[in-house]
Amino acid sequence: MAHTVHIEPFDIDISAEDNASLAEIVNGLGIDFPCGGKGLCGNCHIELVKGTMEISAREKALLERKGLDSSRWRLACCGRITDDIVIRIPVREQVILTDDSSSRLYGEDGLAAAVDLGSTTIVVQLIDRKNGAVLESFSEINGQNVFGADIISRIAYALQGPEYSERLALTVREQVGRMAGDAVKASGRDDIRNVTIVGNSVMHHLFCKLDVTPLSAYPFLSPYNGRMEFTPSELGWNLPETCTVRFMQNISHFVGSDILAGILHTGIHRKDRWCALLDLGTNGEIVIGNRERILCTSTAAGPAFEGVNIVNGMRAVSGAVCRIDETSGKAEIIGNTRPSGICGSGLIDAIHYFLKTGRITPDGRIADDSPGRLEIAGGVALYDRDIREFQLAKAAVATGFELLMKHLGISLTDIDKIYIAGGLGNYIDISKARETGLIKAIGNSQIVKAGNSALAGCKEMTFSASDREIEAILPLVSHYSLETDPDFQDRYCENLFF
Amino acid sequence: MANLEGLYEAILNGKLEQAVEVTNAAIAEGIDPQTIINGYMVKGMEEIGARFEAGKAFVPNLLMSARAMKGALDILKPLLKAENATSAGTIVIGTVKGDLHDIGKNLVASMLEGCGFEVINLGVDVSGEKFVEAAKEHNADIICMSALLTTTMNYMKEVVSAVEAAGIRDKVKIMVGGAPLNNDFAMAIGADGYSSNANDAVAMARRLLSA
Ligand code: B12
Ligand code: FES
Repeated sequence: MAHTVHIEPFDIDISAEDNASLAEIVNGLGIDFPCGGKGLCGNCHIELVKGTMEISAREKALLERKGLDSSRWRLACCGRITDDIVIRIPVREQVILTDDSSSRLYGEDGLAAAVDLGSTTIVVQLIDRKNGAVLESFSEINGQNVFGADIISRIAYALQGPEYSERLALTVREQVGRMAGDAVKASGRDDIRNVTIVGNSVMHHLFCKLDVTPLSAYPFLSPYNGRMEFTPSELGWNLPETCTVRFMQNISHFVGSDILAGILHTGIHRKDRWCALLDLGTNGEIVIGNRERILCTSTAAGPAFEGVNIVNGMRAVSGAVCRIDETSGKAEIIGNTRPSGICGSGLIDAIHYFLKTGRITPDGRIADDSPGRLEIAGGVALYDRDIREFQLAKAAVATGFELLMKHLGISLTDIDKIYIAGGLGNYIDISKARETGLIKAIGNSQIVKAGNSALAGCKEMTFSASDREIEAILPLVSHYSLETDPDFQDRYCENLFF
Repeated sequence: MANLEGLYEAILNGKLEQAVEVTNAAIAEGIDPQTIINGYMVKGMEEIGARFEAGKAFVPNLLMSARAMKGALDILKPLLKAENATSAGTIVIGTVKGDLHDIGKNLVASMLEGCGFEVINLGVDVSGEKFVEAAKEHNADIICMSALLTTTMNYMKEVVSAVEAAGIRDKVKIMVGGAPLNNDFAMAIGADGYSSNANDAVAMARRLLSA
């Protein structure tokens, strides 16, 4: 027997077989499945407006942990259709960090597209290579997001069979191709010379249809980390055949061309003094280097800074608590609306504020006998497990940073500048990030917000003049493997404290 | 007199140096190692476990306590006479093949050890073969497996099969844990027990062995 599923706010009806999976029905409608649809994270919630749908005890527990009423909410990845129902999908707007500055390089012919292919977001910018100016800028959520939020969840999805990895490849190929095509069309020109893509190593492998099995477990040795070139027709893209599409090379198995672009843009390879580059995303890449030597690693901090796995967590969009006044404790809300959650920068501020006022102890406990939560504003609160998540993530970043310095035989005083890359990096309060132990630095002046340095570097990569520079960077770079460092555990323990 | 209460305090508060100092003093005075362990160390670990349970202590505290306990235990262990050592059971523990995350696993190992179990820690990237071999060699009561990656947790099923194939499945219980797992997964792969944290792991181990 078939049932009808009516989906708000899109006002569409879908007919579903009895016992069909809700996840498949809502696929592509903007719901993320951060744990890969395994019913573990509780992030794929949708509202059940009308009709009945069974719910398991575990689903109930997950929803309640998110503060959602289980008589009204369901997890899309657990749901089965057994009735005619009406559901509503929570619509999330997105703020994606782009970089509208002109490229440092210029003076070559024609157009080029720079693509920052992140696990979560994709930014495509069309630039005029004559003067380096940005002509068009498009950003979207990576369509693969519905198959899992972090790179390991994507790999787990791909490993289910060839049709699964094919689906992941086609999803991004189509999406990037469409975005690049739209950008070219909008410019009204047709002299595009290249599309240059940077991304982490998993994005690289999935886009290029390389086997991700080697990236799924130790020793993570990928057979092919090099630069890959395609013709538009090979990818099914509607661009002139004279245009080359290139996915830039990875630095190592878990440090991709996005970081290579970051190095190129910040110019670490030209500095006399040590400089660091810190990406506060899920993979937590860290680079420390100068013109003689560059060492990099990834610390797998997890998505806490993006508001994932935080009870009232949300992305930095309207309704998110994004800042908390240090003295009054007053919350600032994006869009000045009723608060509906807390985003990464708000999380850091909240923890900082409660630490300062003694409501959180240095070991991360909530000091008074409050029932495991600290009210922030209008029902939005910080829960004790949010503090744990934050501790795990910030300790990973801090420990990775310390161990890179140790391995290089240097200390903080030897470091001239610490560049903070990535979305969160741009919005955080630097002093608070320092005081909560997320960023190690001697003073605020050592820290520089570098914006979307992957995109900025990628724009430079669209010029053939950058090739020589990349050739100069690569021999300087080596990867440091934190998992084999015997000091990790002890340092990590210490860094868990505030 | 060595201040053995101080050892209890040191473990509870995660003070490694203090724990080592008191232990050394106690040994110098000829106090029986087993008395030090059962009388003070186990109590300290149990207390920090209880506080964890009550939401009064968290992972960082557990880790620091485990480190202090380990420091003291490393001094005492060689002094224990095999014949009168009392053990709550023998456990072989490791992180499964392909996975190098070991902080959680080491914490579980320390808690078990601190609560009187004999623990053989096989480290990381452990194959089914190695688990089986170690379980046989040490006559283990429980095999404990840890995984932190969604891609490596599936390997646990292969270890369960390897244990079955070796014909020792009826002699050894299997317990699993790690952030991406849950009880349903544990049951689906044929394990006997799962717990979400190091403290519950001790209770679960005791339960499995009394069953
Ligand atoms: C520290 C860390 C690392 C360290 C590990 C150092 C070490 N020696 O262990 C380093 C930086 C090396 C690392 C590397 C990688 N990591 Co890592 N890492 C983490 C991090 C930040 C914390 C894990 C941790 O130690 N938690 C603290 C301990 C105490 O908790 P726990 O392990 O969960 O253990 C508790 C329970 O689970 C339980 N338990 C655990 N084992 C057992 C066993 C039994 C029998 C029982 C009963 C109970 C039990 O009890 C424990 C104590 O209460 C998490 C993210 C996060 N915020 O959690 C990512 C995370 C686990 N890593 C991840 C990834 C992807 C990686 C890498 C593949 C990639 C990378 N470098 O970017 C590599 C792979 C290395 C490898 N080959 O395994 C992902 C996994 C994603 C997924 N879907 O699977 C995570 C979740 C981050 C993320 N979202 O991206 N990582
Ligand atoms: S609970 Fe559904 S995706 Fe995680």
